[in-house]
Amino acid sequence: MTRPRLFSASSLLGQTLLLAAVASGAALLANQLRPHGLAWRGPEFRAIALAEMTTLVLSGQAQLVDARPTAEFAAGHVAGALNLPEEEKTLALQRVFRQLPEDQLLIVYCRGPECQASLRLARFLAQNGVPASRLAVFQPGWEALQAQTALPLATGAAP
Amino acid sequence: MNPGARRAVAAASAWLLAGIFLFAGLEKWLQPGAFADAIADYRLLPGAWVNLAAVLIPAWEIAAALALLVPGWRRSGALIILGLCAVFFAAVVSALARGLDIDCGCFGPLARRADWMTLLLDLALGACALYLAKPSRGGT
Repeated sequence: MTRPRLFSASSLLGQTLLLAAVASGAALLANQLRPHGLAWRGPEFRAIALAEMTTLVLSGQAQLVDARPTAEFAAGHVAGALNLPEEEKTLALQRVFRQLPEDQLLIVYCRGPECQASLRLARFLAQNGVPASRLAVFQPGWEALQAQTALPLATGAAP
Repeated sequence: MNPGARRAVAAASAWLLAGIFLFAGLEKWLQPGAFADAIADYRLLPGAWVNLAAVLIPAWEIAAALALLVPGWRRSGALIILGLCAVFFAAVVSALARGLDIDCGCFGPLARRADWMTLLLDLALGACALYLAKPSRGGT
């Protein structure tokens, strides 16, 4: 006897949902059991605007972190910014913990709106002990900072 | 196409798709942190959801790949892969539209740039999955 079409379709959907559910359950369990599983909730960072960032930096409440490569940092950066290129993430972690006051907000920027380095560095720091609440990303990046006038700019390699 | 040839094409498609998605899923599952970074680069999901997606997507890929090789489950596996391909396609189109220059995150550490070739590859895989999801080819 041929099964009705509607029943067949719902059976396929049910089977597909069952497969996805079993896979999801296994994945969540495996993540829980593996030594370096991911936290269920990923870190979320404040997206900060230029005006607020300028106020916080000038008042000493925030530290700028430049995630661009060293050569780009040397060609121009915000005076006082810390250069922590994504390629030197482990070193970045040590510098954040050893050099920066714990009550400062860390505002990470990279080249411009399309770059990934700032978000990646912020995620790395958050996954390695820096509270996400202490991190913010200035996504407009160096392209926007070059055009502003309030924060002093500098050239040369990081000290 | 005669039934024998159709069955052979369906079996070959299933094995090819299963191999690709099993490899892709395992690569991502082995390095969930790197895959989470790749997802975050798309800037589509809220940060809180990125890790969950990085845990679930490889599992769906692996489960769907294995299901393709089990006669009664082939169409379910194909449907999951079809859904994944649709999501990946939309994500890459969105990244290209916003000018993001990012890795596609397709094959873990062996990732390639998210570009037009990625979209073509995704379309080809989606078409293969659609072929297998049809009642006459899936074997369910």
